[in-house]
Amino acid sequence: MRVRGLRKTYRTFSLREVVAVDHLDLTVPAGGVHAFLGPNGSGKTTTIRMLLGLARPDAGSVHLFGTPVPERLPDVIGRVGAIVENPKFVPGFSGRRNLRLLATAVDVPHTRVEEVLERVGLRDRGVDQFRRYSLGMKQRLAIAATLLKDPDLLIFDEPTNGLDPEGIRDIRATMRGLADEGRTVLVSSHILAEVEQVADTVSVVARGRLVAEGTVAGLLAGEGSARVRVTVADPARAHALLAARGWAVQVDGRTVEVAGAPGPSHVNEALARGEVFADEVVVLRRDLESVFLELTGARPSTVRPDAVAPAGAA
Amino acid sequence: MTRLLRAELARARARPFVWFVSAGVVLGVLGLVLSGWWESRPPSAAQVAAADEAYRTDLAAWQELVAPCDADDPSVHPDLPPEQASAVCASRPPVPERYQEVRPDVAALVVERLPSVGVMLTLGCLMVGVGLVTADFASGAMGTWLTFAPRRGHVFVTRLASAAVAAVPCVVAPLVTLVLALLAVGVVNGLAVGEPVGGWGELLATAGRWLAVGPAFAAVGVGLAFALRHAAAVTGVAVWWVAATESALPLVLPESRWLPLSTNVSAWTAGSAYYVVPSCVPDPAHAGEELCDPVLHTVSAGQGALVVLVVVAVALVGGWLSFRLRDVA
Repeated sequence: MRVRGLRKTYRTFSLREVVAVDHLDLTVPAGGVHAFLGPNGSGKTTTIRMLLGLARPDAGSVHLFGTPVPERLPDVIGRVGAIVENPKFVPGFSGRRNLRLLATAVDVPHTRVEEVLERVGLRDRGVDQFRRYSLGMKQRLAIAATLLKDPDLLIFDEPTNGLDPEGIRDIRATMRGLADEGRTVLVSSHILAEVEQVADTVSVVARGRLVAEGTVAGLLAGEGSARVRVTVADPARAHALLAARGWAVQVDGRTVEVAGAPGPSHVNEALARGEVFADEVVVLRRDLESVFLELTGARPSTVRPDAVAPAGAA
Repeated sequence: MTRLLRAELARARARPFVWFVSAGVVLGVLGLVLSGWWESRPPSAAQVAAADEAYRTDLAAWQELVAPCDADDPSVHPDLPPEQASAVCASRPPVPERYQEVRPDVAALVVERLPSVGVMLTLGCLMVGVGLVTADFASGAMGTWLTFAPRRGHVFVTRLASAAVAAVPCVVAPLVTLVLALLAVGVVNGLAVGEPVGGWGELLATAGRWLAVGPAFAAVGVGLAFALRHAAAVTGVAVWWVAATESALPLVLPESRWLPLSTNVSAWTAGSAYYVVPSCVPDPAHAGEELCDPVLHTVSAGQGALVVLVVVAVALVGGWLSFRLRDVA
């Protein structure tokens, strides 16, 4: 999937223009799980809707499997399975009937319906009306629907919204399993834990723009991004020595926290040269949540701008 | 597109809403049948006795009036001019049958109720068309559907076709119910079958035209639903149309009486419809006043069909443009 310069604006009732997606560039490599990360209102769902032809972009281009969409979306839609926002089916129809209708629309034999129901564990509940399903069952039915076409690309928009921990784990395992079969899974989410555990690559958007992309490991272990905490006998002198190197330093009792240093050895060396010896050196690894919050501006950044891969580097 | 149509027809068939609407219209028809049974009941013993009593009273009065005439003497009615006295003497005795309530035959009952049935099945078909589309927009299923069938033109056409097909039982069931139930009423009440004006063939042709009107209104419903996406909004437009075009406009502008859909549908199904437009000229005898004569205008079946089809086309074009251009949630 390749998205370039994608832009989408809406008009409110007062005719004020709202920019939902602002010249977004996005590349999703084939295979694996790619997380599409951003806070609520950052344009993730709008982007996905444009990928699927449900919304018309104001500008920009989208290619799926090298095919421009939405112009030639019908040529590739058979290779794409998607859940947009909450699972949406005919409420009064059973899960099985909903899937059969979709299967008929894409000329898939009804035996495939039974296969996908079996795969998501809904075969015994296939006769129940969709409106009577729990949220977790609805999500599983939506996943079954995406699998009807045996797609190469699966797009899941906030698939774990409202699910209990067991449901989240099931969805996560399903996504990982699909990726391990060689499919590409694009999952949008603002729940960082699920992304961190399952995604291979990540794109982070904020206010409709891409702010970072790369591998999860790359985002977490960007050079110069480590925080180091040292415990010393003379914290005042340690502060002076480390601040002189241009690093951000915070002192709390005997503990000194350093941000912006290339690595823990550099911190240790700077202290030793000033004849301050650390009793303890701890590397504070960042989790994806802190990276996400810093990138999306949800919290003041204490990380240098080059701490993560710049947008477009992937 | 064939597989999409198959899916849409399966969807329409599985929608309880479609069957509920048809059942609702049939229930309404049964209400009309009930009224037909009520008004065609055989007279009760009391009614027969009252009619017999009235007959006897009138007969006695007549006999009293004409009895002196046998003498061929006009002076028996000295209070009347000679011409009237002769007329009284020439009058015929009352007929007992005229004192019994006239009971319609089955054909008359059917013809009398067809316009009401038409209104019900028209509304029913409109609801079917609207419901088949707005339900999917309301539930969000339309978005899911488009991720499987992204060609909106195909989705629009197949949804339209399925609505038109779903409208057929909504037309056939009420019409068949009307005829069969009234035939049963005829048997129960001992009515003659009779023959409608133009014969049963003409009645069959009228039913056939209703079979075209039903899907046409389902198409209007589909168009409005794609354009507005909410059943409440479609209802609002329909109410506005009835208030403005069907009711207010003909009153304010009599020349526009050819425009209401009710007139045109009636013309299409019945062969023609009539409306009156007053033609006024200044009154030479009274300054500031006018002399008006009603002028009868005819709406032909062809004109009626054309106006209905124009409304269908406008609704469909509006619906298609909206569906084509607007985002789907």
